[in-house]
Amino acid sequence: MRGPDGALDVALRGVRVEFAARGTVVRALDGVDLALAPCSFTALIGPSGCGKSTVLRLIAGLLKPSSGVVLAGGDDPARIVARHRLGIAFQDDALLPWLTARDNVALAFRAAGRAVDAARVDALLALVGLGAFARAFPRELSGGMRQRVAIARALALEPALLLLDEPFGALDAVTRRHLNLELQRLWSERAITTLLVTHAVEEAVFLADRVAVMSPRPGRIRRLVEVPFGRPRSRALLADPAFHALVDELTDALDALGGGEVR
Amino acid sequence: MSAPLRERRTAALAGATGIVAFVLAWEAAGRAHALGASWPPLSDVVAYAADRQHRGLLAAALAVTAREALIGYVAGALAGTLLAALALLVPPAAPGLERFAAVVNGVPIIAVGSICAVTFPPAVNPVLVAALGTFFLVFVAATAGFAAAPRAHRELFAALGASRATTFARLAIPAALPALVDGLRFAAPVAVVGAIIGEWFAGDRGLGPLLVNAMQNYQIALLWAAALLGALLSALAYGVLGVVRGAAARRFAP
Repeated sequence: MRGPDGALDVALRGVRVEFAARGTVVRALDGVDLALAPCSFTALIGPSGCGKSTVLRLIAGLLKPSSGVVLAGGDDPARIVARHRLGIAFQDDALLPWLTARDNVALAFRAAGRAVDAARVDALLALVGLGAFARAFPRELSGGMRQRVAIARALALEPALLLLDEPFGALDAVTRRHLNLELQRLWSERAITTLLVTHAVEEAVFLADRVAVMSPRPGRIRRLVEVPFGRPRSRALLADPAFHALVDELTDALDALGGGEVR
Repeated sequence: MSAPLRERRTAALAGATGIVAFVLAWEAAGRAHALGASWPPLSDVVAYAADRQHRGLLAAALAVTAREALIGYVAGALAGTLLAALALLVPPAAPGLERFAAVVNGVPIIAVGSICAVTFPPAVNPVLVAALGTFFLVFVAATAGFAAAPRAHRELFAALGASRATTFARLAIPAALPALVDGLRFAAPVAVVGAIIGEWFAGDRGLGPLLVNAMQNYQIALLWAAALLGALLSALAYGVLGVVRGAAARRFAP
């Protein structure tokens, strides 16, 4: 499934986002330039509140820039959304509590007004290790399991663009590492143009081809670092000194940016 | 699940204790003639209602009132839900619909009852007053319910490219159910009271006219029996919908 057919590139040029809050204008993003190559995996890291999620919401068509241009596949992101080519997962797993795991994955088809591909839904559940939990309701699943359902749902329509907004941010460290390994495997088989917003430098380096570092508010891209490690990546990479050197370098870069707490 | 179960048991016990205390106090006050002859002991009222001579009259009146309340309830609930849905799907109409609902609710029931009594046939009046009371509560509950879906869910539907109709059917309606059923539950006794008030103004059958006649003829036991049946009908409707509400909350609450 690797290859440029159907893959999308994303471009943000001179993007500024302002919003009114308590009578003043808050500038969330200022002069953001970012390009995501087709089939690339980019991670976006930065201090809390720097506007990482705002970048993601712009690309998802959930927000319009105050000025500047946001393009997905050379087009308005809203067009990509209308063609159901976007997969998305949030920190809040956003599973509908009244639907089973299977129906939550099938929701991607139903939301798009398409016939549910039941075989594909079951295959995706098996892929994320939840084949035995297809009929479980979200309240019966652990946080990690719910996020797996959310990932399966994000992949259900074979998206050309995958947006992950801290999908593992609410999970414990062990579960998070486990899901990072799984996501790495899933992604290496597909190579969808992907943007991951995360607090965790280690997660960013492990998963991405490229890490973009944002400044504190008003956010802009301060550094772009290529991640040199080949794919597929395994648990062994986590013990590699070169991996840790890059994590340390990026953590130092974040610390140098200041702007409050860095996680 | 053991702690909530224990809490539920405690609540049920407290409720039962309250009812028993109320019944005993009523009985004692009646027996002691603490509030005069117009306050009979509960056992006298029950005996009167169960008496072969009065049973038929009371049952017929109860059936009429229950039927009016039910028709008014269903009509008011449908109108409230549909108008709330309209306000959601046609945002420019929302402020107008909300003001309309507030005005409908703001008109005193005495005025509505009197106006309806001179405008509509007597059989329509109780249904209409029941429907009006139900309408407002259900409209407010449905409006709140339709806005209950969390932001993450709404953004998910937006990012998946779901149409407005799909989002309404697959997100707004299920997410609204706990609040909507809550409103339906509180509206049920209102519909019963509305039907009785409507009868009071214009009806010639049902518990309302029975209450009026009993009051004017100083038939104390009949008056209390009719009032008791009205209260029991309200409590029954409220209780049944409480069970529905529990089921809806378990399944659909986030």
